[in-house]
Amino acid sequence: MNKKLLSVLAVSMVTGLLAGCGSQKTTDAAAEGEQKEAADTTGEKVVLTVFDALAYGLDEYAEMTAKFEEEHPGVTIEVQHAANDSATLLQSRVNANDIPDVFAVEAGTNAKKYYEYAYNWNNDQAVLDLFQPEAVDIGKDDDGNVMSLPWTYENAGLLYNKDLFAQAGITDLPKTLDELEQACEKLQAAGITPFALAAHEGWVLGQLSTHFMMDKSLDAEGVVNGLDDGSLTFQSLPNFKNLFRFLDLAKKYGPAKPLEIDWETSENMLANNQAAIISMGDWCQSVLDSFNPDANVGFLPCPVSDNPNDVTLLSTCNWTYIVNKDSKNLELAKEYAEYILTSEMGQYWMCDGVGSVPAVITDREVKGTLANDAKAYVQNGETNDWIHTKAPAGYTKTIGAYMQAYMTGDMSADQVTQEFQNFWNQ
Amino acid sequence: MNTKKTKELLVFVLFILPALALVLFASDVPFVMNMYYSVFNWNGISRDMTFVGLDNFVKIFTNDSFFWISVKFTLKYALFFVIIVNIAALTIAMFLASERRSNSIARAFYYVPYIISMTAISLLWKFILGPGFSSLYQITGWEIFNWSWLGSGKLAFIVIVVMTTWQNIGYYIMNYITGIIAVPTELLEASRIDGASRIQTATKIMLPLIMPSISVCMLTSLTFSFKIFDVIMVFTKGGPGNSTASVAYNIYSEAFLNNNYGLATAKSVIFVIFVLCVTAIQTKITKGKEVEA
Amino acid sequence: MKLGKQKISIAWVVVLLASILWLLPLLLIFNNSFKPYNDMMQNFLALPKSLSLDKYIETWVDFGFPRLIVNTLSYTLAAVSGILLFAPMAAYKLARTKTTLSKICFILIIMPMMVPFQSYMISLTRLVSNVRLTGTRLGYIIVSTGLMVPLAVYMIHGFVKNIPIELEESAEIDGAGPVRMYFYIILPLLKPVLTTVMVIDALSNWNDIIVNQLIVGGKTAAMNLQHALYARFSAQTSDWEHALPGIVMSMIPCLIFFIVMQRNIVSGVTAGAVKG
Repeated sequence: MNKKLLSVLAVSMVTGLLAGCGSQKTTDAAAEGEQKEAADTTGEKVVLTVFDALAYGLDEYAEMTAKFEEEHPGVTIEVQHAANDSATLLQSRVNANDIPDVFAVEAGTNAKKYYEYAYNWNNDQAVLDLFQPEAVDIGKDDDGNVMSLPWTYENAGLLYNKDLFAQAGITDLPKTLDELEQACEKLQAAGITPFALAAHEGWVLGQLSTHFMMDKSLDAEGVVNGLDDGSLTFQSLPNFKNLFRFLDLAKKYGPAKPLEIDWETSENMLANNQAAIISMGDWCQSVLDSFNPDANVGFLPCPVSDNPNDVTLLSTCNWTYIVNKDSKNLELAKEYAEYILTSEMGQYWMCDGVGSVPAVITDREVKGTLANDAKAYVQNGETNDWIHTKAPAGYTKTIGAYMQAYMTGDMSADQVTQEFQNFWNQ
Repeated sequence: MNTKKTKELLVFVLFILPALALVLFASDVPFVMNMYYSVFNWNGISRDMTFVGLDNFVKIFTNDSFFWISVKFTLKYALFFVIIVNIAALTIAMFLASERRSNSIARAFYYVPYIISMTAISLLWKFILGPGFSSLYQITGWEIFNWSWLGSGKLAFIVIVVMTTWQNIGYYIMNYITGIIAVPTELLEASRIDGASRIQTATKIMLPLIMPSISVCMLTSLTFSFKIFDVIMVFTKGGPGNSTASVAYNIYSEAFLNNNYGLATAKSVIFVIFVLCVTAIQTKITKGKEVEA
Repeated sequence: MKLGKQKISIAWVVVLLASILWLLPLLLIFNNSFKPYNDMMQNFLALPKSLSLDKYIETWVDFGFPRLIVNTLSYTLAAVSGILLFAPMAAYKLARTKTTLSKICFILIIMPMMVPFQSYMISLTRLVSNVRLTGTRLGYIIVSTGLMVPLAVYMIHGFVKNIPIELEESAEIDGAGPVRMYFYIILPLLKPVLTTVMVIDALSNWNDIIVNQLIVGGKTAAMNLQHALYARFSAQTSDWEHALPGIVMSMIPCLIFFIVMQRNIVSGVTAGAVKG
């Protein structure tokens, strides 16, 4: 038995290793060969590593990269679609000195951490001119250098079900908190659950809170700067206390167990005409479509006070692409970044595949209904920038937990406000 | 004499070297690196780190209430999990130890959750606790189905204990059965002939003889519960409101969400020292009770 | 050892019936793998409207299941073989040698059992990159084997105690050297615990996501099953329509493997007991 077992073990281990290493040897050899050569056009084999943090429009993305490879013989694009835990995985890759040639990060605090590895686009004015100017500003570091390029506009705020609102007889969108409460009562009277706030998710609550931090005269950056230098505090922000009124409404007019509603259930209820209002963003377009392609959904600028002009819809180019300045194929990497963000195929991916309004200046039609809905607000300058990505790291996670504590009744509004302040002060 | 000792040493080294090398590479050396990082202030990404000496450690003891909340949670969880899973597994193992078709099948069933990946399990339980319980409530009207199981800290704790017990019990049952089968039948039959009741036979004869299995199961369940992470990550993400964050989750979020790797590694060092002490004590206790057949 | 004539007690029947509860989730997953996303969200417990295998086929083709299976299989084979080769050797020697060096080595090998993997994940990736094994299959195999060694050694170490030292002493007198003794005498007696170790490690490696994600990163060619299935998930999208069929398909070999192995564990222990 023993000899047999031993030989079986040895053989299987060797087989396993060979099967593993065998293919590795060929890819290793290829990689070595590539690294010895310089960049693109000589027709030598080149591998461009790309890190993508999204799972939308994957089919269109594949078409896009296939076309790029066609136009650049000898080049292979190796994409890691790390939708889940993307921050962790990117961090690990950077640590392992396996920095992708092109990678996506969330703009703001997150992106700034990687700027020391980023290529500076300041001298590539021709490329920068292709984008909307405010979008380009998003990728700037503290010294005004453009370190990352914008992808698409993402809009966040309240989404509402148009059919349900019509059913309840609500003709005008509520603009103040009182009107919001009245709308809820009408919905409830019509047998509709008004809210399906995804209170299980800390990040949803965290994003929601930023509506009530917004001071329209200052906009997002002004608010952040004010909080940073102490000229503003959470207690002094005029509309912040209304956050708690809003949470009370969401709880009173929402499902029985608010803290158990996660993002999936929340979106599912909205799409299936089971709830009228959720707090989300236009990134959930594809999910809503897969639930119910006939759902009639739009943006509801969030009422934050008694003043109808205070309604906020948050819009920014959240995801930006960074090119690794130490890339072995810098020119190719730059070309690829430009390609996916500005070219025809890139626009096809962004407008058709993902369904969002791209940052590049274009007239192309965008497929996503929500994105189109928001477009009107964006063009009229009625939107505000995102705060939670400019906040200190860990904002939504920490703050979300406190808001949940408020909703369960474990903490009072004052305590929570103080905790917001404590967190920001760190 | 010398050559014999040298030869023994050589054989010893030969036998343990591969395993030791693997473990050093995969875990020990990275942990030593952790100790190095713990005296720096580093965000885990940048090429720069600033040396801060023992600042991180001081911060943990003076200004990090979340960490201690997670310690409390982990200890509480460990207590419940270790006791519940071991008693349940041992009991079930005693019933399923003999060789019958039905027992084999039942054993396989108990092991099934161990085979399913965590993603699927989380989906499952999310639905059982959400829509599943709602339907059950409508059918039976029992209040227990109407509680907010994932929405309150206390209930979420119970969910996590139940879920992890459910998922892992197969492993412990298997261990206990292996131990039970190894006990010579003659001893048990002899004690029954001598007039001992079933329970007396079980506790006074069998239990001491399966001490090695108990020892192994105690240690694995203890270390498992101290390290608990996957469930929290996929299920509750430490919520609601940080009530179900384990130490491993706290360290993870410190490293990756707060980008404070120096602090996170300092916490891991403190935690490991603590766990080592506890397991050393536990091992001493159970090893002392082992009886060789 | 048999528990003699097993009395048909109520408790026993309860235990048998309870085991079905453990099986239910499997059925639920299987059930839902046939449903479109929305149906699953709206009616989790209901039977699927149709039993079409479309999504299964789509998953098989789109994700490149054959390659994924080959990958995962070769990883598991390599890792498990590595463990079965190296862990018992070390456990045996550590259990029999009572020197201080032995105690220290034992602690070094067991210590990772106490440490949560997440806490040294980044340090590990740094180390792996320093030896240029990032993104390689060899790197992944070494790391995943190394991560399973502590538990394996611990379990085998405990089991070695059950082997009477007289056996080794008489073998020594008969002139057996250490290597022969290990392979011909010790190893066979370790069969039950080795089978257990093999089952645990094979399953944990087959289902691994995080280590594969970490070491292999973006190299699609080197991904394993769970990693590839999970890659479609994000904080805001879930591809259950492909993930569930994928999970069901990946579970089948595990189930078969486990059922086959289970009989071995029991028969191995019984045989060992009779001999001892």
